[in-house]
Amino acid sequence: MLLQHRFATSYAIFIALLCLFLAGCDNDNSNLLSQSGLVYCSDGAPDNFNPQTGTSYTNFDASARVIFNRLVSTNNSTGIIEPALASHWEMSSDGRSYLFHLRKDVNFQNTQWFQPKRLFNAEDVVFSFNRQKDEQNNFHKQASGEFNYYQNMGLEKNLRAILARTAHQVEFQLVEPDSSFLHTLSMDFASILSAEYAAKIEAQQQPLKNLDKFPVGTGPYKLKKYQQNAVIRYQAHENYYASRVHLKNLVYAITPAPSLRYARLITGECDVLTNPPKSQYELLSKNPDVNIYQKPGLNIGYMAFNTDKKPFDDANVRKALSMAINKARIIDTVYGKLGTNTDTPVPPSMTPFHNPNIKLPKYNPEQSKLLLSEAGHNQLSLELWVLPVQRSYNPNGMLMAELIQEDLRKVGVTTTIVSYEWNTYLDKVRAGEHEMALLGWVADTYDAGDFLRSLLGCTAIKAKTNRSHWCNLEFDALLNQASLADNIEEKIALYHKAQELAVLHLPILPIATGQSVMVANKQVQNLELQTLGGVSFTDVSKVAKDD
Amino acid sequence: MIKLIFRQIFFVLVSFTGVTLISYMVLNSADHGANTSLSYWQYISNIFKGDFGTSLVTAEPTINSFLLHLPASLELVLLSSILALLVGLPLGVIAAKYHRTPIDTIINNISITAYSMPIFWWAILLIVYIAIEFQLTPVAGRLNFIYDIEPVTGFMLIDTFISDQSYRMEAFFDAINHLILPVITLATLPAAIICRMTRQTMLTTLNADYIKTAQAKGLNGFGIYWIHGLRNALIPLTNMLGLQVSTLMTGAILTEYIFSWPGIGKWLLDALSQTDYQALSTGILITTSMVILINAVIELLGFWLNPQTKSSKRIYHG
Amino acid sequence: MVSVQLYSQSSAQENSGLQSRWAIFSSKSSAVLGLLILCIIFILSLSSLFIDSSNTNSLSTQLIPPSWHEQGTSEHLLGTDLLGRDIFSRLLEGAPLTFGISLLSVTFALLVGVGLGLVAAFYRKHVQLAVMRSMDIIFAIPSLVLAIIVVSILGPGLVNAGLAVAIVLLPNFVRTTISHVIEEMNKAYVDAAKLDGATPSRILLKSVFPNVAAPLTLQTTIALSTAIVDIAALGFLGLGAQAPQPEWGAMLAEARTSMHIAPWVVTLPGLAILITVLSINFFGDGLNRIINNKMRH
Repeated sequence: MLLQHRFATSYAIFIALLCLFLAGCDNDNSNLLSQSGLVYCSDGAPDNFNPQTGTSYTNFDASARVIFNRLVSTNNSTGIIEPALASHWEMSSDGRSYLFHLRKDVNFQNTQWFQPKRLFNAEDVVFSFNRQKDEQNNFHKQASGEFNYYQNMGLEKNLRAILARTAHQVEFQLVEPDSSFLHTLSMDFASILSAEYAAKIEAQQQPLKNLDKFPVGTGPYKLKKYQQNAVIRYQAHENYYASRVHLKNLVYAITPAPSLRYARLITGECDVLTNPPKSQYELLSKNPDVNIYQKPGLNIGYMAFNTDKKPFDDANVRKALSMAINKARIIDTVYGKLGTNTDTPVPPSMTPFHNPNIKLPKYNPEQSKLLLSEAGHNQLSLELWVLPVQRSYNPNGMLMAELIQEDLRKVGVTTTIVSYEWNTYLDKVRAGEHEMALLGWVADTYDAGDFLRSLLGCTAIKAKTNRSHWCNLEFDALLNQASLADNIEEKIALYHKAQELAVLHLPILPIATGQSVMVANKQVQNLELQTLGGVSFTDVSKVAKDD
Repeated sequence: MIKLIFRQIFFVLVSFTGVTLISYMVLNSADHGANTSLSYWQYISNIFKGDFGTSLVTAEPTINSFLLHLPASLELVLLSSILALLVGLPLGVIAAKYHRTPIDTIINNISITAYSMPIFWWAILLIVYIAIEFQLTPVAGRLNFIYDIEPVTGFMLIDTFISDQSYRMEAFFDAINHLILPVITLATLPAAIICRMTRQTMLTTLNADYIKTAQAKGLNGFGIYWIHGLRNALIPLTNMLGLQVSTLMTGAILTEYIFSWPGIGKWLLDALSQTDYQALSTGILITTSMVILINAVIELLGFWLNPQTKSSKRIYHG
Repeated sequence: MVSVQLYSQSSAQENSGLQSRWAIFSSKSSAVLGLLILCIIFILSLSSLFIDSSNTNSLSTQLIPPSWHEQGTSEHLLGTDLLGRDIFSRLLEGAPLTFGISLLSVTFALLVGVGLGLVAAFYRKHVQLAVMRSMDIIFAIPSLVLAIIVVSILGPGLVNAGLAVAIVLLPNFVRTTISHVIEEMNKAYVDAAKLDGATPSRILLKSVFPNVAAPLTLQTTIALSTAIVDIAALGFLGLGAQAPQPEWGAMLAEARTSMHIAPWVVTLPGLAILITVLSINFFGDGLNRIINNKMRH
């Protein structure tokens, strides 16, 4: 009897001690540690750290914005071009040549895989662009020549040569003048890589993909470690040329599930998240521990019709399907206060290029049914592809898809919803496997031409950003004229006309423009919302918790 | 006994062959058949050389990714098994001892509810109420992201402890914090089963003749319950452990999915959503082979401990 | 002569047997409750198959709490979800999906399993070995991994999930059948019946089957509870029922996005699964007691 009691008591004491032990564990991090580091809840995993081959913000946020710089940058508030790695520049009188004077005090990052022996110079600029231009370049072949933006922005056709005139002067020679050339050079794909590093990789016969897997740049943070699909760890670049980096550590916690991102933010495991869905947004606006930063975005959420596949090659079918969709309900349900309607592919915030006079065909299910049967389709069965990530242009793709599915059911169309992991989704859409797909696009510059060209231009089909595979020569001609235009009024008129064409043929159904929203806990300071989308933590710092 | 071992080995090999056939089928089910030009024979010989194929998604050998994710699952499963034993055994014994009293009924009802609980729902409930509502534990993951711990063994408790960072003890306790909900989630079902099994077998053994003999011999209550009763209850329990491996693995996959726990369960599901057939086939091959091996070993152990056990006893909850 | 008496004795026992069985079963109130709830769910599932669903997704009805909450309305008994759909009607619609497909799955596994088991029991040696070994392999594969295999080959979907679960359940039925049939066949009274001139099918029907029926019934209830949880789990992971099917597991997956502001959306479908499985388990518990009781006599 006694023994039995003794055993039971000691077991109970053991359990009690265990509980005390666990309860006594401090839940909060030490202030010092959390102050020196920022954790960003990102929604996707990059496939590598090369911004030249990337097309999505999942890639750019992890590479271009953190590890690299470009020759020039766009001011976040005014949109004006500012010096970055280039201190000043001159354009030739015929507009076909640009000479950039480079800074002489820029350091590349010191990492476990590379220690630079020299400062940044013209060689690096030449290498970075030649990799994309020269088909004989080994690194070009290694990337299978898939430089989407380089091709899409017209550089493939238009960049005749790039030469290092001196150690700190680089000349770009163009075939035709391009009024948005400087804006193009401020884009993520134009990031500057280290030629010295590339040479070392080749000399030591390392696998060439190391250039993209273990990146070296001049940017504010250097890559420390990447756990696939889980965590990206960056450290401050001690010799960053532009400013002193406040955060010692920057961590991207890859969290595809939006409810988990929200939970991590409010429990303090993450400091920042972007583009929360409507339900979370409403809760967060009432939360006293976080700050909300928002701006109307230069973006568009749309539904693409793959015009290579039947019945989407028929413009009447596209029109009919568009008329079946109740956009007002979608915008209210999915976006709420976070989005505004747009009837054209150019976002309303991109004034003056946005054409406010265009209206999409009105929501009319009866008319839609009529049109469909006239076109010979009475019992259509279609696939609607949905993106799995949150974006400013689409805070809840699945919800939108279900609403569309229901709308289409009312006109006799059966819709199957299909989705994949984000990178897989993009790959398959780029390969043209989709029928209808929910997608979006964020402007890379303030130039509507780039926007329209990427979405609907003929060259963009090969570059795989034109996801409707629509090619209209008249449309392309209008865009080309506009890029050559001398004055702004001409440009505006031409872009307006192009939008009319796009809405007439409806290769894509423009849905809405989303607000860019960033939510951060109150310890985070100097967080700037990027007008052109994506994140940037260059000047961010954290203060101690005040309680 | 030797004959039994040989028979067991033979059966294990046959099972392995069956599993390789299945994983080969999975590998070839990719709809863009451009990647797999391997014949079945090549596939097998590659495996013997240690080459399990390279993922088309990550461009890494699949076996490397698998081994990278394994320790996280092992840590979770081990700790859950321990918790299940620590909770299930005593509760089962108590229920048996207080048979036909309210205590027995309560414990019985709790255990039935516990094993009727869909594990994924239980996990969500725990997260919503304990982590989000009362903020007592973190929501998901293994460790707060701010800690950069070198993955030496892959076991977070060990790695934080032996780390040379200044915040290692803090990280250690943080790791424990992150383990609480997933371990409770995964341990619930096995604990319920162990509790019921223990109760059942203790009730039957307590009625057995030799116990009555022991009582007649004058042994006190402690001796009866703990030494004789429990020891004999452990025999069918070890039989049960075998099929618990399968259940644990299923539970682990779901738990890892919900808690974003970077183990092989989540890895398998990620591979499926990325249509990474190389990784899928490797994962299926290895996890199933592991279960087969463990089951065979446990069965042999069972034979050794109690030669009377029939192998056809494995008819319980799967 | 002795054998004839045995036969007649057993048939005389059968009538009073049913009454005594019910007495044992109903002594535990939980078992009766379980049976009752099961019947209700079964009836609801059947009836909801014939009722046409017309979801009204008006914007104003998003995320309404259940009717007992202060912001709830009587119009939506259990509230609405993120898309404004009434949860109660969705649960009803989902019943034939979760419960129905599980029943079909179990039935399929039962029929095929018993068939295979019988074949193996009667044809001995190699056939039996082959059957048992393949069942062992299937049994060794964790249920979710097996489902992943099926889905990666056949693609996702509710029916494929049902198939996967049926395969998972198969080994247990086969094994139970084989071991019990063999056990029964080895018993004295079968030999006596053979001597008496009874044909194999007669032996099967009259003596072997009734004795195998008991463990098989128990096996079926266990299988049903396993099937429901597994099918819901697959729906939850997106491998089984696809959104927006109102299968309970898929409902849970959809509800996760709003779980922090609308806990009822995520609590109710899980509760439905729990109640269903609990009633099956309590019912099975009652059955178990009958069998145990019978075995002791």
